[in-house]
Amino acid sequence: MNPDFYDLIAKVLSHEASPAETAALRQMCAADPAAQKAFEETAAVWAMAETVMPAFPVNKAAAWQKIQARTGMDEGASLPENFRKTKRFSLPVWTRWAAAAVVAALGTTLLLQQLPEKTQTIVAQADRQEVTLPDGSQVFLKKDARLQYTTAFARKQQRHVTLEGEAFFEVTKDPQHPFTIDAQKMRVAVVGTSFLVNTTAQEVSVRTGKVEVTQSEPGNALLLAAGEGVRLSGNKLQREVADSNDYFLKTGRIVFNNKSFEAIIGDISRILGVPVQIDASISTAGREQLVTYTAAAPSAEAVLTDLCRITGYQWRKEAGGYRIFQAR
Amino acid sequence: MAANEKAFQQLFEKEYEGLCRYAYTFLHDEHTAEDVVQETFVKIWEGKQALLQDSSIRFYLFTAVRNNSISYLRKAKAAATTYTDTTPEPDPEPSLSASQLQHIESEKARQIAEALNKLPPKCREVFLLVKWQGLSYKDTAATLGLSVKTVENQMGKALKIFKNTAFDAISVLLLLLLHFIKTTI
Repeated sequence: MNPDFYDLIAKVLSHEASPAETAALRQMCAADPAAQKAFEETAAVWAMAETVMPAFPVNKAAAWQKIQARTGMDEGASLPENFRKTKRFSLPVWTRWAAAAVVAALGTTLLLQQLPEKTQTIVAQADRQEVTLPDGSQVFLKKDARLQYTTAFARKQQRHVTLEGEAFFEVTKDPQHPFTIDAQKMRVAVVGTSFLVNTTAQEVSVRTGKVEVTQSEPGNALLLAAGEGVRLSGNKLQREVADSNDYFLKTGRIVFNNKSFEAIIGDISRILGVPVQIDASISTAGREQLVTYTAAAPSAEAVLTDLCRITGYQWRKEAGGYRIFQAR
Repeated sequence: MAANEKAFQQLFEKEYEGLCRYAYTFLHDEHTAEDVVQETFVKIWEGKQALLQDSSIRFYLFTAVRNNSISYLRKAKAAATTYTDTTPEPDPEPSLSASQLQHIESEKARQIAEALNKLPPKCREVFLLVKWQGLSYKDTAATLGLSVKTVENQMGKALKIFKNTAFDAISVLLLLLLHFIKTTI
């Protein structure tokens, strides 16, 4: 079993887990009966640890008076009546055990059987956040992208997700169960391929395999092959050539071959999600010069530094983004 | 009443008992534990009133009680022994005392408590702060001077060992109950 398995259980039981981590544990348990058993046993022991916590009978009122006397606080600041005396109930031991067992049983039952009936929502906290779906398909999300699926997916009855934002999908092959995506005004259906879906720009780009894209209204459909893309322009599906940077979420690579400097800056702003302005000090010829550049898993500042080294310009950080300018 | 006094009193009401229990895991003496906690509250009132309204006060209290308990033990030990070298003593570690173990009536519960006591010291300290004192991972990390990642790892390790040693003790009773509850829901 994965060495981090118990780290994950500990986080879920102590309410430190993110929704994605809870989902990951749920998936492990659904996929592996041994994991499910280990989780139930651990949850039971966790609840039991509570019952052996030693009682520590204290006289709060007396303690408060001592502190008051030593700090010279206002004598009137006495404790409210209701906790002058600490009441102690001593329940029979078996009641604590029964209570703990009920909590453990209900807890595991709720966590693993009832919660899965709900919708699972993942909102990416950072760029290129990786999500593994119950069928093993992988999704690489852009920051703030929202991916939802229900537990019908986990039970492998229906491979269907809803996407808002931008994501690259690598869908595992399963001809019996088509994989479908609700992408706002488009619907995407595949069997086993990899492709990008962007609901902001209303586009889909295919890296491998075949993808069918259907417009929600009025229901036109296009079948795309590898290297092809489609954009919803106005109310029409428009076939395009896929751009190699469409796979950035998966590969982490940005690639430009003989592209104008201005277009590259526009693409970088969009891909990395940081506004970059070209200053008026840069000439039209400078904007139109062709540049070839490739980088792996770059930061915005590293890319700007590289591009400035190539072109001889300089960059600076400013409110809300970056500006590239020609030094005098 | 001044706002600070009110906040101070509420803090005392909420945390006093838990802090005493925490100090006791180091000191194994009820009176000393209460003394150390009261002393900590007095010091907060005298020097750290600004912290009273701060969200980090809980972490501060546990850290202070831990440090004061450890320094109490060091002083008591220094008074009783003469050192022959300058090697620093290892940090005292929290645990359940023998008398606490004796007071647990049920045999099974005692097995669980003993399993808890057998955890590696760092694991046990992290586990007790998170489970018994309800500290967040972040506050636990800050109190013990660890990274949050280390707390995550220690919690995972503690649960794994604890499960493996303690589950046998409770398995029969619990599985029956689990089965019963699941079939009736």
